[in-house]
Amino acid sequence: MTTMNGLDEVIHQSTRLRIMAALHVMKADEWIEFMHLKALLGASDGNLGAHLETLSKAGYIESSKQIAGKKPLTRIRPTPAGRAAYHGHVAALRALLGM
Amino acid sequence: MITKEQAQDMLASVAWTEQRSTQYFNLAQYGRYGQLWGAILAVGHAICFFWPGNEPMVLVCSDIVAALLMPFLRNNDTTPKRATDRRIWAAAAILVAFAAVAAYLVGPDLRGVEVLWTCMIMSGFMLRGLLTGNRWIALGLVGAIASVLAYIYLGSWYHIAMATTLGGALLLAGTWLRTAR
Repeated sequence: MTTMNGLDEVIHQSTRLRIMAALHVMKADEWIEFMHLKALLGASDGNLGAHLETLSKAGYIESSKQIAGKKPLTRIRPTPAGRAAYHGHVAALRALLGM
Repeated sequence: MITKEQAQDMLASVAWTEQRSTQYFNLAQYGRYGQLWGAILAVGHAICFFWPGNEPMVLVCSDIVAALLMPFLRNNDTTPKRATDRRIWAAAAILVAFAAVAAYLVGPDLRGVEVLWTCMIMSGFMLRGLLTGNRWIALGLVGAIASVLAYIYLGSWYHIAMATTLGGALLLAGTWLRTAR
């Protein structure tokens, strides 16, 4: 989902770009909980949930829902396609600046 | 189409978020352990101060309780767990071996041995800080300096000083680590 100048339309939105930046530093076998990602980004439940849904539909993240004790636990991690798209997007931003 | 200023802002936001996320994965998960050790050390030293006479037993029991509670905390911890590099475990083993020899040479001075161990552990935190973040360095410095000052200058108030400075420093450091995002 790239535009002419190499930017990814899905990741271009600022919150989704920050989500992918936060997930990008994770190792392949790591997950992050929804609540921790929310605290990391300073986002609201609804806002983060909507953007995660968009990223998930694009195949850029995967999520796992479990029950821990009596609480629902949603964990998130980037997919290889998501990582590649993020790398491409950041590279395109740098290219725009001639970096 | 976006302007160069917008691209610059986006890259700055990306760099900032990546840095916060890295800190979170490298630091926040250890905060609970700092708080646990801080609380148990504070209670142990407070017991030694108010009911003197059983220092070795109380302090050893404090360490055992803390060591037993750590796996429990880990199992109930929902923060992301990042596996510790084997080289860090090897470095820790070298420090522990060195401290064991030094403690043997220090002799029967219980407080001296405790401060020695504290300083060795804090040195480990500082070394780790060189790799993963300045908060470890600050934690190690505060803990080491607090325990040495308490040992040298606060003779009869040693335990209460350790309870407040070392215990308090670990509690605060744990809280600080947990908010590393």
